[in-house]
Amino acid sequence: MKNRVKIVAIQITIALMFFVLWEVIGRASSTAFFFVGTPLTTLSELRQLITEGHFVLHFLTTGFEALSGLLIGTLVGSGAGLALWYSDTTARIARPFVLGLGTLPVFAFAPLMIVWFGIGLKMKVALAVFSTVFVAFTQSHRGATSVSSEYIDVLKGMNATRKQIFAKVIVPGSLDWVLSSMRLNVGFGLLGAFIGEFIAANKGLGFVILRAASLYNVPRVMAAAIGITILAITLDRMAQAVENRRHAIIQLISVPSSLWRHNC
Amino acid sequence: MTAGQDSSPAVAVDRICKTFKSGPETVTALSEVSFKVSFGELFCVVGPSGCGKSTLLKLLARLLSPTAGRIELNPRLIAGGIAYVPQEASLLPWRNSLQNACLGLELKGELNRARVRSVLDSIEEYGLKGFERSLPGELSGGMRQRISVIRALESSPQLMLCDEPFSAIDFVTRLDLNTRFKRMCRVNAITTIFVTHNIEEAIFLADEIVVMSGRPGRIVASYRPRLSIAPENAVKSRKSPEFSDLFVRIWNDLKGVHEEPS
Repeated sequence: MKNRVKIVAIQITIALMFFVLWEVIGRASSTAFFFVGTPLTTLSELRQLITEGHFVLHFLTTGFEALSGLLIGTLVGSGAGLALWYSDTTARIARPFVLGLGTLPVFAFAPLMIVWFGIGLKMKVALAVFSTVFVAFTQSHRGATSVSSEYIDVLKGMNATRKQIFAKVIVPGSLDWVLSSMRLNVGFGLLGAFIGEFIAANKGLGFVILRAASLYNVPRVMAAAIGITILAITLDRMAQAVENRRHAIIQLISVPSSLWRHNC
Repeated sequence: MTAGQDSSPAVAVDRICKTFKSGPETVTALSEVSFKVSFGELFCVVGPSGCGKSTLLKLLARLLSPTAGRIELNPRLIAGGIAYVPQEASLLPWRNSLQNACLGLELKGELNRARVRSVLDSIEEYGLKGFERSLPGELSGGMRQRISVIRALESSPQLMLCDEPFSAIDFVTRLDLNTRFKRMCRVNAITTIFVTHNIEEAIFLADEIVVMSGRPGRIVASYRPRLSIAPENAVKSRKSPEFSDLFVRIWNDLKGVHEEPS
């Protein structure tokens, strides 16, 4: 306990020293201020952004794009990845493609998204989906194939159909992989939304950063970056909360409701 | 007792062989194994570790296919349901005891309030009351094995394939479970193939015992124990003169298998 207090105290000291140093450097000369700004001006810029700059709108826009991209990407990707278990032949045919898609430089295709989806919200969501779906796909497929054959054998020994094995063993058995890929994908989804806003947008935190940077307004860039950090932490916490409920999710998807609780 | 309408056996195993490739070598697990099991019979396979007993069960459960020979399961067995009790209980780690025990029923689409009630009664009878909601990771090896046996029995199978289902259970509890197990198989007329390395367990349970040799596994002897004293009770039946007699004979069969330098 005493040790913990000490560690937190040291951490706070380091953070404080960082901000003080930043403040000192920023004030040293106008050139330095131009390049890095200062923590205090960043804070006042953030306040201004909130009061007059529609910060909440930008924040929610980026958040919506990232979150919906993440959800769609996870659902579609994991669904397809798990379904691939179903047919051994299909899985073998798909193997090189799965590996290929996993290494696809998604963001290289970003400009194409405008051609396909226009310049609106749809394009950012699509980019977020595009940047998460392949990770979800490859991870869930690996999860499905790594489920212990011991469990599958028990069901086979009971004459279970392939569909039953899929529903009772494969899906719950690979849920850990699906959920951890979702957590991993929080960053990719946010990045997808963000890059979409860089390409073409009139709202969102990426748009705020791009515009502020083009006006050499470093404190505003920093302020928007704080917004993105908060967004990333929020999404990560949400994904973590879902991960922590994996037992409940398994019950929901693979155990009949009559066995959820019982009175003995 | 519950002979089929036709005289054909429940299970017919005809000169099966099973070889595995391990690297450049070929390992023969089973060699020319043949036997027949009638409907409702409790058939025990005794043999030393590594004699291919588990392989034999996996072949019967159709998890493996024989290298040579034929296995015939009567279509009636397949229609009525098969339950496989593997050596490691293999409970699904994300399901609690009750949910694991109900899995067989669930797969057959026969899950209802009455059946769940009966599973709960079984859990209590097997000494696991209070553990209905525990996950497999929280149970001991013996407890997991009991749940695995309940899972099989409660799905009211026609054929049950058991691979040392009581191996991790202490001796006293084991005798108790043997008694219950034999009664359940009798009452429900379940055709059962039971693999064990415990001679006494086999003598008490079996209508027929086959003794297998060490690798490559082949059948070296076969017996039909007829216990004259309390054949329904695992403890009292030990008083039968046939019990100790048969024990010595099987012991000698097994000894003849791995000849030890004297």
